[in-house]
Amino acid sequence: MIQKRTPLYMLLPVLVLMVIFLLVPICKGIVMTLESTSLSGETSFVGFRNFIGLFTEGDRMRMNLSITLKYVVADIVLTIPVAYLVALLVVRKGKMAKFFRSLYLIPWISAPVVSTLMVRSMLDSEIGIIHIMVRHIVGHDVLILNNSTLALLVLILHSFWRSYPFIMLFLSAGMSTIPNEYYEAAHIDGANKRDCFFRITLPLTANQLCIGILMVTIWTIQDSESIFALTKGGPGNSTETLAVRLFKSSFVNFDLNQGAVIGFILVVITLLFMFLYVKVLLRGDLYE
Amino acid sequence: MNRLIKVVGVIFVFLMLCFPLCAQGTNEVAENGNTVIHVAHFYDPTDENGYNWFNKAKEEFEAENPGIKVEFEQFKWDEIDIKLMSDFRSNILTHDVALSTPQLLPQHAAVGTFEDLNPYLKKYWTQDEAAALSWASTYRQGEQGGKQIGLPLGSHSRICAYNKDMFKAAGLDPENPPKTLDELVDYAKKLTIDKNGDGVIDQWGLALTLGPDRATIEVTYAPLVWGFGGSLYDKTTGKAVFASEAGIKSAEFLWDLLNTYKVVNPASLVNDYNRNVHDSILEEKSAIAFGWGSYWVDGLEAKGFVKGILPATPQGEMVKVGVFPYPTGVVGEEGSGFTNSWDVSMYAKSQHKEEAWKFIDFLLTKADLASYGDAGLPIRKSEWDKPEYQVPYFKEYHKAITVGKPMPESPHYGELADIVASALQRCMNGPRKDIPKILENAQKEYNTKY
Repeated sequence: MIQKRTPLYMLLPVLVLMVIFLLVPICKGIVMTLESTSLSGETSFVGFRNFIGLFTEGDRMRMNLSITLKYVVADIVLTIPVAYLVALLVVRKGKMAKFFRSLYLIPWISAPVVSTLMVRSMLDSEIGIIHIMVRHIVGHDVLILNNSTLALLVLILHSFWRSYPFIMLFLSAGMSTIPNEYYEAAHIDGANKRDCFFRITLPLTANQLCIGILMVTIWTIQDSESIFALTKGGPGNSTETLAVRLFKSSFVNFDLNQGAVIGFILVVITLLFMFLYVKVLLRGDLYE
Repeated sequence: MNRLIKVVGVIFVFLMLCFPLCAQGTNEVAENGNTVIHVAHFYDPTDENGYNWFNKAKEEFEAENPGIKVEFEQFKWDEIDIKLMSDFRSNILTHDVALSTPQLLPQHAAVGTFEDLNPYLKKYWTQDEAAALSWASTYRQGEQGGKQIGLPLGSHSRICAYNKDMFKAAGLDPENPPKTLDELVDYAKKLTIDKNGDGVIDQWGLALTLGPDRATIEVTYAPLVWGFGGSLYDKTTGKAVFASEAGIKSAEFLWDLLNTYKVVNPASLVNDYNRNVHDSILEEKSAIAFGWGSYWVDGLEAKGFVKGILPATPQGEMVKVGVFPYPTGVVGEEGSGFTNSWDVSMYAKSQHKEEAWKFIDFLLTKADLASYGDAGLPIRKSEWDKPEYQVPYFKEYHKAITVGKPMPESPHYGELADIVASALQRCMNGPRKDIPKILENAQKEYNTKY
C-alpha cells in the first residue's frame, strides 16, 4: 500500500540534487557578493562595499553595462525577426524546406570558439577576406577589430549568425503545430494573408517567441567565450560586456568576490528581461 | 517499504555530500607500488620543441628513479597559475610539481600555492650550488616573503633584433644598430618601405606589440617607462605609478611611432605578441623587433638567420639577424628590459614532497636545458664563462640579463597589466592630448581598488 508520504520520499533525490547543485551555489554566490576574500582565503563580511566599489571605480562598469545592453538588444532585434521570417519560409511543405532547415542549423552546431576563430581569420589584417574586401572598397586598410564600433558590430553579427538558426527551428516547430483548419476557416471568413499572420500565426506562436527571445537574451548576456576569443573585450574596454568582465575578474585576476557581484548583476538583468518579456508577450490580448 | 525508502534517501544524501570531498583526490600509488607524482606544465604534446624536451626529462627521471612515476597535467601557459591557485583554494591535493610564472609568484605567495624550497635547498644542495643560481634576478623573483617558492629553469630576456639585409638595402650599417630612441626612429623611418608603390607598406621599420594582452606592458611599455626613469608600481605604497611623466612620455612615444612616424604596423593593436614580433621578423616583414625574446632563438636557427646559437657553440654567429639592447635608459641602466624565466615550483599540498623535490632537482641539475630554447638562457653564472657563451649574440643577452628587471611585485600584477594594456589601446586610438588623462584614469582605477 502506498502511503501518503511515499511520493514525497520519491522526490527526495531530485530535491537533494536541486539543493546541492542549484540552491546552495546561488546562496553561496549571494553571500560572496557581501564578502571580501583575501588571496590566502580569509573571508570577512563587507556588506555592500563590493557593489559600491564596482560602481564608483570610474566609468568602466557603466561602459560594461551599456555595452551589454547594446549587445543584447541588437542581437534580439536582428535575430528574432530574421529567425521568424526564415521559420515562416521553412515551415512550408516545399521540397527544399527540409534541406534548408538542416543547412540553416550549421552556425548553431559549430562550436563558438571555432566560429570565432573563423571570424578572426576573415578579419585578419593580411589574409582576411573581409579585410581585403573592405580595403578594396574604401581604398585603405581598416582594422575592424581596432575600431570600437566596428568591433562591437562584428560581435553582434557573430552572435546573430550563431543564434538565429536554433530560434528559427524552435519557431518553425511552433508554427507547424498550428492546425491548418484555422487558416482554412479564416480564408472562408475572408481573411487575407496579413490577417492570418496577425490573427493566427503570431498569437499562436507567442509562447515560442517569448521563450526564443528569452533564450537569445540569456545566451547573449552570458556570452563571454566568443567575445573573449574575438576581441578580449578590446580595443581598450570597448567590447567588454559584463560576462567578459566576470570572466576576467574571476578566472584571470582571481577576484571571486567581484566576479560574484557581476554575476549577481547579470542574474538581476536577466530576470528583468524575463519579467518584461512575459509581461509584454504573454499578455492575454494576443490570444483574443 | 517506508523504512526502506527512508534508508535509501539517507544513503543518497550521504553519497551526494561525499561526492565533493572525493574530488579532492587521494594519495595515488601506481599498481606496481610506484609513487605517482603529477607535474603541471603548459607544453602542447603536438608542439615537438617544447613537449619532447619535457617528456625526455620525464623519461630520464623515471629511468633514474624506478620507484617514481611522473604523470603530466597539461594546461595553457596563461592559465596554469590561476588553475593551481584555484585548486589550492579548493583543497585539491593531486598536484605535486608545476611550472610557474615569476610575475605571478607574489600572487601565489599570497594564496600559499607553493612550498618553500629553502629547506630542500639547504638539505640537498651545497652553498656553492645554491649560489650558482642566486646571482640571477630571475632567482630573486622566486623569493617571496623569505620563502623560495620558485626556482628558475633559465633566463628569459627581451632585447631588440634586426634584419641585417634590410639594413644594408636601406643604406644603414648592419654592424651599427641604433643606440638611442631618436636613432631608432630615424632607422625605422628609413626601413619602412612601400616597395611597389601601391600605397600599402610592404616592409615595416619596427615590429612591436600593442595587443590586448599582458605582453604589451611587459615587452613594449615597461622598457620605455624604465628608460625614461620611471616605474610602473611602487612596492612600498602598493600603488600603481605608471601615469607619471615617464609613463606619459612612453605612451606618447608609442603614439608617435604609430600615428606620427607611421613606422609600426597598426595591426599590432589587434594581433598578439607572437604575431606582431616573432612572425614579423621570421617572415621578414619588419626590419627591427622591439621586444625580441631569447626564447625565440629556435626560429632564428631553423631559418638560418643565426648559426650555432642553439645549442650554443663557440662558432655561434648572427648571419642575417643581429641583436642589440633596448635603445633606452639612463646611464648605468641602459637597455633595461623585462627579464624572467619559467620557474619550477612545488605544490604546497603535494602528498609526495620528497619525490616532487627529486623531480625539481633533476630538472635543474640533470635535464638538458641548453638545447631547448624555451627553457631560457643559462641560469648558472659559471655557464656564462664557457667559450660558447662568449659570442656577440650571448654577450648582448648577458648584458640584458644583468640590467633586466622583473614586473611589479604585486599580488595583483595580472589586473595591473590588463588595466595598463587596455589604457594603452585607448591611448593609441585616441588623440595624443588625451594620453595623460587616460593613463591617470587607469591608474586611479587600480589604486581605488587596491
